[in-house]
Amino acid sequence: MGNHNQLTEFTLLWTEAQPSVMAFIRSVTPQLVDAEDILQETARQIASRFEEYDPERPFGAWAMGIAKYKVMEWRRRQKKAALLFDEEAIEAIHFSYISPESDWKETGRAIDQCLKKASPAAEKLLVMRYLEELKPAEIARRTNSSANSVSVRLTRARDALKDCLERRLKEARA
Amino acid sequence: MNDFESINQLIDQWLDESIDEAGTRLLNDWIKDSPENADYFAQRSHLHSRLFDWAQTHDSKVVRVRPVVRVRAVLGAAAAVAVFVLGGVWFSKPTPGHPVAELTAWADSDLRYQGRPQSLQDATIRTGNYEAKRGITSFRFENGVEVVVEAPAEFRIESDLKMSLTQGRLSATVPPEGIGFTVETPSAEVIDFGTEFAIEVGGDRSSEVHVFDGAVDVKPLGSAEVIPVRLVTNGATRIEFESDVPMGIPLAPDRFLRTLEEPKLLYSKAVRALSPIAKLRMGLQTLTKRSDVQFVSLDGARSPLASGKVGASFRFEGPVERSFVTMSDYAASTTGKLSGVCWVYAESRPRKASIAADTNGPETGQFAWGLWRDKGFSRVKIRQENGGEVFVREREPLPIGEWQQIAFVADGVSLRLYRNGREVAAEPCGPVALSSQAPLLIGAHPIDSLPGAQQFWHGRIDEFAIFDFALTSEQIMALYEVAQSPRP
Repeated sequence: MGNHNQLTEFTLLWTEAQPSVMAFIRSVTPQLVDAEDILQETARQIASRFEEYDPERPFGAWAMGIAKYKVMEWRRRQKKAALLFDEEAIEAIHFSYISPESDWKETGRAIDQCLKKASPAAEKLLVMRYLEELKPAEIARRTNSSANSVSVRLTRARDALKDCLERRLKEARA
Repeated sequence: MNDFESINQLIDQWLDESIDEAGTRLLNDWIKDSPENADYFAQRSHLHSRLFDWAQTHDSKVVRVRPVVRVRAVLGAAAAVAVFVLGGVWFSKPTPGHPVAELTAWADSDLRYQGRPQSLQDATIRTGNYEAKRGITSFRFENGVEVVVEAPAEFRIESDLKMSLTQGRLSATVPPEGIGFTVETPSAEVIDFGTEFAIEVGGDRSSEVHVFDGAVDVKPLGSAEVIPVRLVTNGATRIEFESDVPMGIPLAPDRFLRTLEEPKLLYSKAVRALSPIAKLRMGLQTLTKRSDVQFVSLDGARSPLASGKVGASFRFEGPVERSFVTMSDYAASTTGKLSGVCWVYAESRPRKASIAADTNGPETGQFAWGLWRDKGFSRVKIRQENGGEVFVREREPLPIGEWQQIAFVADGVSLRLYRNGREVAAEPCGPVALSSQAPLLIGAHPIDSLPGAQQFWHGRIDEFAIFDFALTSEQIMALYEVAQSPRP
């Protein structure tokens, strides 16, 4: 499988689609380590079935479909007691992710711009949550506050980003 | 549940894994309730995922001073300008369109002259307005002055002794015949005395001038009484648009791509003398002339060329922009031994960022070279002939914002890692496996045994070479030292 052009074409398509495919997988499997495993399996499956892909159709949606299949497989392997969404909910979320209205690439770019404007306090909090991957309880312990207040601050930081994001997308489309 | 505050909290509890069973059921049902709800959840979870990606390229310990970009208008002739004329003669302003220079080199360049695209077949550079929308362009005036412009940039050429830069970055090399060459920016005028210097005009119309060799005078515009700053070798200054006060700043030699010519080099010769099985200088030639090498990038806005340890280097944007190099026809070592040497500059240390790899699983390829997990220690993995893989890693994270030479050597009995000419780690390791052909990726790691790439490097890589024998410590140290000489 050393064909230069096929490698490039696949890689371009996959690397463009990957962030939103990962976002979908993460949204239904909050445990990071599971999400990464599922992404790997999805990538493998997509690559091995790349010849089946019809270039007339959007790659993102095709990739997202395979990811959903892998998520459902994973879900069936989980213990009954685990906190999971049911299959219908996962279908609904999947449907949102493949909706043609969502331009995830544009959204992603807008998010990056908005992050540059985050306050130092918000940035510090986001670094602890997303780089060091600490949960609110652990962040609370390190910053001498309560898990509840950390959750509230995280929610506020995300809300602020969401508002900035919506403004930017509106401007971009105007 | 209608109010957004409670739903945001519930979604966030799910995303932060602090939700309970009742909450999960509630959220689950809310999502199923309507497509709008599912969309809302999708948007918020997408943001959450994107934050993980953002965090990969974020280094909270580094304070980066970023030049601001985007200029709105050029400061017109309304500024009171006392122009220095040093022994030279002002050419009477040629009518627009007068040829004054020739294109000498370009990379992924999109150049507009008076609003129209310039075909690169037409090598003539004329007086008038230019916009560099993409890539890097260099041109030389009749008096020998050579200018390199990095997009995005807007500039105007007045004559072979004068140009103005309203936005962007340029470097200039000025021979004795070009002394007096002047560059005007919205906030300053820079007059050269035979040197090598660079200018960057930011979005706030401030200007920075960096002098690598020789001397320039920098005169802030806006007030005829302000005394010019004389900058000499290794000096730099910044002039805000609002104030006339020049501020001394640190020289940033790594920021500017000063030439598109890979200097004829001691370093490259030294590497070639060792007979590498793969060698990439990561300069203009590598980008444009090698059919076996391809630079892959999603967002083509920036040229991949940047200033390197030796000449130019390739810039990789990490997990957010996802760029890398593939080398087809890479012939793996058949001797059971393998060594690699290159120079790297890390902008950040993304998880498992890869420098180069040809292995995509336990069954194929020979090596994977990069950073270890989240700690950012340099590390290399070798696949052994008698099965199994050997890993070796350093104990300290790779420094950020500095060029580092890194190397590894698998000599059939051990695997050793080097940084800046010195051995930093070693493990026992048998002969290197024979490999079936797999593409070599630089700046990324293959995904299993299939096409694709992941674990992207964030920063630059330069002078990459692989050998099918074991380099000695002396050879590695010698290469390190050659690169340190002033113009290697």
